[in-house]
Amino acid sequence: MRLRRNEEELGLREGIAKLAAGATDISRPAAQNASVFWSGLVEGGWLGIALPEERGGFAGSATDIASVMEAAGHGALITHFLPNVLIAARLLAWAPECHEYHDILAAIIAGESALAAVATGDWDESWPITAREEAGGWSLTGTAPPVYGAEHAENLVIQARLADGGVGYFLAASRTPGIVARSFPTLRGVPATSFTFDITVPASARLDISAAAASAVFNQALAGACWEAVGAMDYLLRTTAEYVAMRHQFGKPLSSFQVVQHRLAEMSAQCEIARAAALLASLATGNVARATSHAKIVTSKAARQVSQNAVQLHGGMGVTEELAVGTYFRLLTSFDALLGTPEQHLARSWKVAIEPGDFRKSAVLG
Amino acid sequence: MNLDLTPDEAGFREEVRAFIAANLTPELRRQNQLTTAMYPDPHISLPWHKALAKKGWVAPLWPVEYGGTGWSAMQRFIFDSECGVAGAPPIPPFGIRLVGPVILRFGTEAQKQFYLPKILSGEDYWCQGYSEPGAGSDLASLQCRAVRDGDEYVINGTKIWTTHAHFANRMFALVRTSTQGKQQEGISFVLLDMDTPGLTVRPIRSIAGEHEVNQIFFDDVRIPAANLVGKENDGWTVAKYLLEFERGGGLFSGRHRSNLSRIRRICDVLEERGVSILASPLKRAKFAEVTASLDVYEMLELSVIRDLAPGESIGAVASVLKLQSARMKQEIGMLGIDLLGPYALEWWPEVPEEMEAGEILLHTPTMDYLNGRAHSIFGGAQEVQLTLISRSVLGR
Ligand SMILES: Cc1cc2nc3c(=O)[nH]c(=O)nc-3n(C[C@H](O)[C@H](O)[C@H](O)COP(=O)(O)OP(=O)(O)OC[C@H]3O[C@@H](n4cnc5c(N)ncnc54)[C@H](O)[C@@H]3O)c2cc1C
Repeated sequence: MRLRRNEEELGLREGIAKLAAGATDISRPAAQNASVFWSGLVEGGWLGIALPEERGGFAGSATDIASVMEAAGHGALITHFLPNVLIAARLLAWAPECHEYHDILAAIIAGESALAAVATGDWDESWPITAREEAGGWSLTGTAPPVYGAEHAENLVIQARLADGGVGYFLAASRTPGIVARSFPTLRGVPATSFTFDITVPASARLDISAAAASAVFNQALAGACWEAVGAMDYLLRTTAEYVAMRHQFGKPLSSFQVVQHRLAEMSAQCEIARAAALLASLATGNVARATSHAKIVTSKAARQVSQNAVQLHGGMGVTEELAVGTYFRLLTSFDALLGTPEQHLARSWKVAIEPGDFRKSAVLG
Repeated sequence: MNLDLTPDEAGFREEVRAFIAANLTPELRRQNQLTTAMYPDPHISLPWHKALAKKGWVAPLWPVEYGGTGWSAMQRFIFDSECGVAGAPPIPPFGIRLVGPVILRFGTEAQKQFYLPKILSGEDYWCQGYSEPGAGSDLASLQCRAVRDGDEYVINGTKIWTTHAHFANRMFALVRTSTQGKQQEGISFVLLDMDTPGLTVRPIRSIAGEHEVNQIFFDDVRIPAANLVGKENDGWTVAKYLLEFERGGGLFSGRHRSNLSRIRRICDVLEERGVSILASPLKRAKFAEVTASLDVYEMLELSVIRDLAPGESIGAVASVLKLQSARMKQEIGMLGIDLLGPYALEWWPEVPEEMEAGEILLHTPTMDYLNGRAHSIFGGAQEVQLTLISRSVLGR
């Protein structure tokens, strides 16, 4: 077991942290900081971190991805990295070789909005897009829940339920007639898009990716999402601790009141717990569905607790746009519905860990 | 970073499993399974203690030259996890985990020679005399008086909540040797024999009906002055060193997991009797929620101890573990009674002799819930831990 970053992993984390710090200017809107961060990621060639070498990437480790996501969360630097690189590009990259994909993947690594995913992990069993096989192709129909990163995407990977109960992934240009899209701003600070499909695609549009490979993509994305939440929670803990130490009422700092101290302590404990959850999600090797669902469930609860306490301890200032607290509060609120709701993960946990009895075994030793 | 066991770690795990298979008898496992108190009675823990001692595995936190194992933090984690999951009886902490490290650090050579081997072998059974009726969270206000008289100290006063004092032959205690200066400056750490004349033990029944804790009365109890550990009036330093082990020295995820498994077993037993508990989606979700917390708690334990050298204590983050371990215990306790509903109502102030083991098993979740409440009180109440955590957040 290796629970510390090695030299390479430390170097990468340092590089990313510098980039994130350089992009963060509290006098600017968060979206502007995020786009500076994104440019830095693109120019530094960091996006290749998530892709295998034979697909033009440099195959970073789960720990490297954690470093990027944690730094992003800490600075509220929300970009297309999660939806387009960690999810969409990987769905394509992990499908067997196909020339058409090369260009798309190269464009993604170059930072272009080449591809988005209208897809989710295997925790959603009632995914509303269905695919029916027709002469020479597939017809896809249904309205999907909103997804991130798709507002400018040229191509879409569309997940659909098949008649035999399986899941298929299809590649289509986003301008295909029969695709209706509506983009709107969200709590996460970036737009989401709802898609309605009533299209027919050729048989060749179906990606040859196994359910297990797709599921691995989503599980790793989930780990990344947890790290983003950890970064954001850490920011809130630090900034709240500074605020209550600085702000005086009744002639003394707020931090001298025990109730305030205890709220801070609860926030700190939840930050530690969320960090352990994210570690578990990133590093688990055996029953990865168990580890990632459990991490998501626990991180969601921690995120609520930390973000609500952060706002509470900032008083009136906490419920304004005068401070960054509000941005982080909204970001963490949106975490619940990111990549599966807690309810969906509880149901998956029952299926993969509890009913089969796996929960009796250690979560980390297997 | 990665969680894959190295070949050495995997080999060690196999060795631990083989040891458990060879030494944890079904009877011991069953008796431990029926235990709901914090620590099983000595007739359950001692056979296991002795088996571990024979193998040289009973004191992982001690230096090798005194009988420690020289294990890495990872090995300790593997060992505790395997023992917990297998349902091995936990070893009460008072000797091995608490007074042992204290004697190692502050004891005289003579004290080391005399006490340490008896702790290792299980010949001595220890209890902890810290708390008093008037000194709980505010431990430094303790009043139990020890007055020097030639080569002896004469002790008068009382201690309370003394776990397993009715089994112990020895006690380590904090006593007041001076009333001058700050409260903390007049405290001394002493060792004493439970059969010393003038010492009496009064049982206290717990909320679950069990006899685990006691009150101790000292009535002119004379102990040799040589039983002092550390310097006179410097016992607070010793006491604090011990508390670090009390609050963070143990790994509990394995035990919590075996408690959680016990709930599942009870649901299965009831299922055989036609009572379906886990068909309810709401109850399934509750089960999953607690399991999620436990999986993450396990990772938290591992990530906290990962850098520890043998014998090193974990410092401030100990409070987060203590807080969270208590919550795990309580969450699992609540899960049991929430899932079982009316089947968790039966409670015997004293379990009748003739009751079958299987019937007792059905009551364990209720007992677990009742006993779980103490976990956020002893060893520093939850509020005390939160204050400690806030100090490190606020940097003071
Ligand atoms: C099952 C059990 C076994 C035990 N075993 C032993 C043993 O073997 N040896 C031993 O010496 N002791 C033992 N104890 C004693 C234990 O350590 C004390 O109970 C504990 O330190 C709390 O002290 P108290 O019970 O006097 O509570 P009090 O100090 O009276 O506190 C009562 C409550 O007030 C609150 N509170 C206290 N202080 C603060 C504060 N500063 N800020 C905010 N809130 C506060 C907390 O909610 C606390 O629970 C045991 C206790 C139990 C329950």
